[in-house]
Amino acid sequence: MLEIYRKIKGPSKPLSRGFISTVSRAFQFFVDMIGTAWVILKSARLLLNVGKRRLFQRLFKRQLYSTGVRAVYINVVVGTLVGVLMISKLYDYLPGEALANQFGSWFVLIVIRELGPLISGLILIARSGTAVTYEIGFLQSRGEFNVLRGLGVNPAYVFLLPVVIAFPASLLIMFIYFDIVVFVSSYVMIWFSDSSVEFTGLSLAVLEQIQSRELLINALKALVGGLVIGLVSIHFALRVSKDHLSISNAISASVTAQLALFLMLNLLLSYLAYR
Amino acid sequence: MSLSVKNLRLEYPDKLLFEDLSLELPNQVICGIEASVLGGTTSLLKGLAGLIDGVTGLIEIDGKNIHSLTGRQRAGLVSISYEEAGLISFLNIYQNIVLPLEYHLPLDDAANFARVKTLCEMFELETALLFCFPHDLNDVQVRVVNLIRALIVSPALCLIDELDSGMHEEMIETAFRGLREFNSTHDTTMIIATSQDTLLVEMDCAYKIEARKLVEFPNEGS
Repeated sequence: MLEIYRKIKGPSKPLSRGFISTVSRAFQFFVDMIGTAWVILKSARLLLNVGKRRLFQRLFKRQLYSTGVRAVYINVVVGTLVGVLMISKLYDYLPGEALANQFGSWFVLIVIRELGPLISGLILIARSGTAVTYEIGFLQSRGEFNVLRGLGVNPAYVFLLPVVIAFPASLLIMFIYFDIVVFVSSYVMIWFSDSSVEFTGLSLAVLEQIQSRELLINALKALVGGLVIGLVSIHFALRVSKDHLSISNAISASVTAQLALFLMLNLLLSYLAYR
Repeated sequence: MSLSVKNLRLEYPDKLLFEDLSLELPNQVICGIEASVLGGTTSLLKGLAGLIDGVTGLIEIDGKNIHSLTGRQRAGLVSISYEEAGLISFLNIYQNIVLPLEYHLPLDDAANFARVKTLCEMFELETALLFCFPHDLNDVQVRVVNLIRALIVSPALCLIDELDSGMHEEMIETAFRGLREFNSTHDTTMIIATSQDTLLVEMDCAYKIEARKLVEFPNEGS
């Protein structure tokens, strides 16, 4: 019985070999990512050509619309829920007047610094990271990269560069949507319990608390986070073969890697900036 | 001489398809190659276009060695019309057709549209289809769009893979008439892979694949 089990399972690997293989796979992943990023970066020099720039603008707008603009609906829903939930919970700990007075610093600390970037990033991964992995994987499986090469067109410029530039821009737009929606829904919740609180006063209280550091860190989170999500989507999409299961495998692996990298990045940047 | 091929050898890791193949074609000629299932015609066309590895020998188009050209130079000289797929899924038909123009030639939108319109009329492609996406088209329409995109840059050599498959006779006649019309106003040499003997005898010259080489197709008139 044990013999059969061993035959099915195959020879067991020593723990050290498993660890080395994981580390070498992770190393290979980062090397591949850098290679992909370099190829895309090289294609960006074609933007200097007016005719090619016009083509890029069209593809970029298409990507930005589907990634950043169309995300407004889900951002509004999630932002509203977060605003309502946050204020109702804060009311459990703080009396109404104290909450209104401290709202500015609470809002910056919780929403602008942490929840905005985190939830927007998760929405970007769920909505667009998966979509781009599928889309580029589909193009790859149908040989459309080779079609472009046959036309003398750089596939990285047409298929990949718009994604890599649109993702950070979209993430920044999503931060802004999210913060505004959470602010409005929080104001509505506060207004229900204390109608004397003015919208302008509350807005100014938040604006007074926002420092250039918050803006810089948020811009950095959008830039690096968007780039990482876009590059990981592309990296896994480019590994898709003609096998129909390879697209679903690529999406699954891509989302896992995006979540791990994006959460680590968010934590690291917040730690470095606000420790 | 538009196309000059000498000692071409085309080999995949598991199969040798062509060996010591030679072909000379002047400008403005429409040349047919008899296509058979797994006969290697698609590979030969891709090899002549410089799109696959494993090809050795000399391929010159208008005196320029295809293997020493950059992607952009090659795309201006030689284009290929695929038998299946070949279009970019997320671009509409108009965007697919003008893609090589937009990328390589700084023409304005009006000039691009004029070129597309002329070719659509030549091959009787309904202009309403221009704003559809590749998945909205049937196989035959996809092939005609591929052909129009291949011709839009007015290449020196256009390689057309089984344009006629799935077409009824009237459509084949229209497509062939369109090719003749294009040929009369442009310096383009065309190589068409086709499985229809009746079409091969209508071409300026025709070949078939035999013993990994091209040999003249027996033309009744000759």
